[in-house]
Amino acid sequence: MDATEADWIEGCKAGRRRAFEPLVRRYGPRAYRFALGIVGDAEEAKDLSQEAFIRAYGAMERFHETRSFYPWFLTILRNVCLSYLRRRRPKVALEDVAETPARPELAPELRLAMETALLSLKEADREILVMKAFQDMSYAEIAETLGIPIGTVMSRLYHTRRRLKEVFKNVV
Amino acid sequence: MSCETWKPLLAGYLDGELTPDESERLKSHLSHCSECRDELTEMRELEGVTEAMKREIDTLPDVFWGRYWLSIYNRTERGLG
Repeated sequence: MDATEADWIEGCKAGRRRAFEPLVRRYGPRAYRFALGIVGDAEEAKDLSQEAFIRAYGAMERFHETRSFYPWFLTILRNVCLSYLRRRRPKVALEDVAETPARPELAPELRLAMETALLSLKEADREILVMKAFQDMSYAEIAETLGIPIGTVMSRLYHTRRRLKEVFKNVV
Repeated sequence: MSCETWKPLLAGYLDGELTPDESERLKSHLSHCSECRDELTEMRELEGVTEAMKREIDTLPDVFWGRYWLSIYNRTERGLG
């Protein structure tokens, strides 16, 4: 963790809520991407990532500066997203996602096909794929987060992509 | 080695996670295996779609992130969440 980030966290611990803003700005896009990959709904992903930040702020006293902020935050975000999925099964219709992008880069049918394919995966498979494809985490980081060997990360990512590809091709 | 043995390495290759030696051996296999080459191409196409989805979020305007933060700020103020 860099010195600036340590200052922000210290500010949060001292109750200065404004000190949380740069952390939210720095990690918001990454958190939003993770949540979108997991729940497949832009509005829900935005709300869930915000909820995770609120919980992180509330739990900041328990954060140790020897750790990096994002892996600690990711644990909270994962729990928020997974408990959402257990409360409510994911929707298949995801048209609202198309309204969010500032600069749409994908044809709507491709986006819908990918979202449908992502949602067709088992929760654990979707999570590992999102860690790689939407979070740019290294195999070592994924292995540490999930508590599995690096070789297993590679193998699971291969088989998950294969399943994703089959559904994606069928939808497109 | 059969293709089924090589295939998991395609993920590592795509993600830049193979050792130089593994990479060279896989490239050598790819040079004469169209099945594995096709699978790698399909994986790259999927990657192109997820990369585009990521860019869409990364290019959301500053005003979006301003509102995003404000909602968090207001909810921590009220002690929600």
